[in-house]
Amino acid sequence: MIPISIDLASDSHHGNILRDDIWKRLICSRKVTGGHAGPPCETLSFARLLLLEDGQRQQPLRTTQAPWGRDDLSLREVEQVVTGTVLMLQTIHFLLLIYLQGGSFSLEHPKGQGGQKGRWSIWDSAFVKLLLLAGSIQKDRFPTRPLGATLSETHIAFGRETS
Amino acid sequence: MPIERIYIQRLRLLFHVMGVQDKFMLGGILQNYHIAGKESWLHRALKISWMRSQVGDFAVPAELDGLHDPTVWEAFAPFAKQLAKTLGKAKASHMLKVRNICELHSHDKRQSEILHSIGWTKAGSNEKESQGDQQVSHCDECTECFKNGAALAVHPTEKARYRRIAMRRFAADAVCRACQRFFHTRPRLLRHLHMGTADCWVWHCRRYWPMTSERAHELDHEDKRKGVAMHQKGFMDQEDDRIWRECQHLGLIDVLALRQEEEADHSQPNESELEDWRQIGLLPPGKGGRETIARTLMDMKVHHVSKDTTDLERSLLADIRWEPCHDWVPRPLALGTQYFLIMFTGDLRIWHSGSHGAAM
Repeated sequence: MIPISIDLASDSHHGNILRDDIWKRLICSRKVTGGHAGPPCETLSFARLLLLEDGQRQQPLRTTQAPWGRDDLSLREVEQVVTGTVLMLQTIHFLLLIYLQGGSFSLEHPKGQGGQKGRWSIWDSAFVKLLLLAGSIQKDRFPTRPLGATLSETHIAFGRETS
Repeated sequence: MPIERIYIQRLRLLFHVMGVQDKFMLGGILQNYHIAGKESWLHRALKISWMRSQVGDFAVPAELDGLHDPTVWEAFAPFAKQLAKTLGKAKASHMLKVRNICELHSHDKRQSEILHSIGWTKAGSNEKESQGDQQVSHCDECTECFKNGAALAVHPTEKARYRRIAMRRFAADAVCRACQRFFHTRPRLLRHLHMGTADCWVWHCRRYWPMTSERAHELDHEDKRKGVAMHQKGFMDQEDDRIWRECQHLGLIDVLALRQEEEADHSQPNESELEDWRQIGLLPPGKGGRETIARTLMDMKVHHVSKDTTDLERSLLADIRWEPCHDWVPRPLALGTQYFLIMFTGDLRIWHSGSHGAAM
């Protein structure tokens, strides 16, 4: 089994999951045994709610009232949100395709808070909740602080082969 | 068209007028504002608060809210181009939001397709099917199904290779004696009885006994011979286009056997009448016969991209009624070299730099 890192930093063409359909063709030919993805979290991060040293804070770009982007964002922020959304949807689509073709997948993202206090994460989205209906797709907690991360734990959805 | 697009167009025109400073036009706009108030063009065009929410308070000064004052127009005239440029940012932001909702719809569609392909079913989709099943009528003699009782009633005549138009046994000539119109040809009368309101249909059924099927068949052949039969190849267009005219007294003389002597009325048919007509396959439109199309006023939906995006997520959350197929087993993976994909999409700044964003 050969692991392949699809990273824009390593290859501007094949690393762009939005541009190159070679990965899609590889998945559909049932040569992909598994996949792992972590959609970008910077537009979803709860760190935006933290008070900075100068007393200011970044505004949250998504809330439970406007999960796909607040209406009063600047152009740069809207661009950020849309890019985040597109990448998130594309990675979920790839993982779903891998699952469909008999592979396994894992989707990693910071732990959500179940929509409390208006805090929205991808675990609250309808697309992910729908996937979790499948018996062979489960969500688990994974402590990340021992690995050096500042977040205490993250959630990972595992999609396993049903056979 | 989304409401934001209308805001943008109005604001663009407003800033253009501001820059041109045409006194005559400005006077007209302000006069219209003083007379029409909330209904005026200026009031509708003044979506400054929306623009401010899109590009920030610093780019859209609060003084712009007072455009009903002529001095404000003059004061902002030198900055009209700057404001138009700022509006361009609001437009770009709007276009990104449109793209956002399109991506969500697209993903919803492709995800649903994949789930369907692995045997998932959506609860509620069976309800519509079962509702449709209730309307189906079955013929006792053969296995054919019909969408309503009227279709089933004319089924025996279809089997006998007669014409299928139910009212043909009431159409002896080109005159509708219910509305006293002359339609030039018998097929056009038939079309009037079928496609018009059900009133004339009911009137004929009440007043006359239908002619025999054989007689109706003869008249059908006569229409064919004249080249005016409905759906006939080479049907004369000029005949079809001729407008109906009011019928004279002589033309209104009854040619069919009367069922009742007194004038038939246009009241709603009762149950016994419907049952009687059902026997000969003559249920009027909307009363068990052909389904009528209700012409109701449609509410114009004004799209608001941000609100629609949120509503989409809410509707998707409310609509998670899928039933997974637990028996689904994927096909085995291909033999030979296999791969494991690790997708890094972490830092959005990489995506925004260079041409990567353009690929999106």
